[in-house]
Amino acid sequence: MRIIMTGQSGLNKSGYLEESKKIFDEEKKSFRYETLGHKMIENYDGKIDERTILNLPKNLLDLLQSVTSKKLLEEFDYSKKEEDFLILNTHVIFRWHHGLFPTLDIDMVLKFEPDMIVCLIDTILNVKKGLKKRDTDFFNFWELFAWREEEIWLSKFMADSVGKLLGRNIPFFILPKAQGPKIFANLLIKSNLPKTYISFPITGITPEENKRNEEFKSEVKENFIAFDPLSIEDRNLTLAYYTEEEEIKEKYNKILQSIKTIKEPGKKWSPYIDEYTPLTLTKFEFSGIELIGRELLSVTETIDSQIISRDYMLIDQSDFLVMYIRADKEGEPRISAGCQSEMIYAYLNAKPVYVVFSGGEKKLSPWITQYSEVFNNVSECLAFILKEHKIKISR
Amino acid sequence: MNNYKLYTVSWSQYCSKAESLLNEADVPFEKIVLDKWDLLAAAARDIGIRRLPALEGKGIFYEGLSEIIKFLEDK
Repeated sequence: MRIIMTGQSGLNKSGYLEESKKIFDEEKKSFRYETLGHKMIENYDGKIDERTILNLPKNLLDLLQSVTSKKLLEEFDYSKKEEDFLILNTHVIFRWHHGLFPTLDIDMVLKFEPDMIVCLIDTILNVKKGLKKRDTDFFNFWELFAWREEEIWLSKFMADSVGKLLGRNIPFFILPKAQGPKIFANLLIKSNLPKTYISFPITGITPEENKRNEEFKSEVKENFIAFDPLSIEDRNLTLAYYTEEEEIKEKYNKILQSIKTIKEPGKKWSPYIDEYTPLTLTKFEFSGIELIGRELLSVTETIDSQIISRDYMLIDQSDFLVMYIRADKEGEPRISAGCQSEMIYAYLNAKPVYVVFSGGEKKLSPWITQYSEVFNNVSECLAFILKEHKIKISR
Repeated sequence: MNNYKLYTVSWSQYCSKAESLLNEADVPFEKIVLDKWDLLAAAARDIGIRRLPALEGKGIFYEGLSEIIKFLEDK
């Protein structure tokens, strides 16, 4: 089985693949990965590294890539035995000097004949940390968000178009790195396992509920390929940022009002102050990473938009959705707008929706029951899923 | 019985202020601290809040210190 793994710089995909290899070794499966960029550096006679490789002239870089691809394809064992897993680790695109730089050679992809394309993703703050660690954080903050999205959509486009050219379906998955290598191993080794999207709150539930939910989630993750939307945590940035907004505005607004009065006749410019100006004058620190206010402001809408499109994509690649609805102290259901939207999206895309709600089905709105099967607790839900999908549980 | 939930983070001065004001006004509340990074992400997703401090009571959210002050004034 041949797999192309894509994803932006800073993810440390090689480290992730090295971790994955341990699981394959334990399973006695042959697993080999090669990183295109590293191979290109190895194959170049002069002195280049990750910081300088893309400074090479375009024609030389194309030649280097072509020679490296050819060598790699020759090196790969073309055995079609099922237990062999050959992974080509690459980017689909590169961002360089604040522009785009294509990195993947379509001829090589066609010759590699992938059976699956996987795009690894992570929380952007982690990506930034990864880039800093390698001393390659040359990017504006918004570019890291754009790059993740470019990798996702171009990888999907590649899977669709190469599949058409090769005359067969090439499955495509986005994979949150925070879920660990086990999910990647399951995708490859146990590809027949049902895939599910799990939507479980961890806020506002009792410790007992949380314990039961965690047990359920681990059971689900053990027996299914379960995609967890909470594994990407970009929304922290906006929540933390807006939490400070009121205080920042209160402290800066008086000073800013005095700037507003500065007017110099004949100048091409004049002071411009709006509701966001105080935020652009700040600097934040998140888990050891410094971010200036204007950079955060430039991504707040992107963060929300990407959460929605990513969650829908995770539902698209799942067979069904499992959702836990909280009950408040009066036993009434509490469902967020996000969960309601996910449920309807799944239903309209012909994915079964399984709802766990301890307050009883009658308390739920028809806007929920119409679209789902409802269970009183996680055990009932799990038993139903196992039966429905004919799964033998592994413990 | 606590009828309200106050979502906070320890590093925000306005969260501490909201807590003091609620105590002064004798509003019974359960304090939920979201200092851990994964809790913060989950809160935004689970209950859809955009900023802290956030006071939840009877299905209504009051987000930010000014909204909480207004809630106390109207009470």
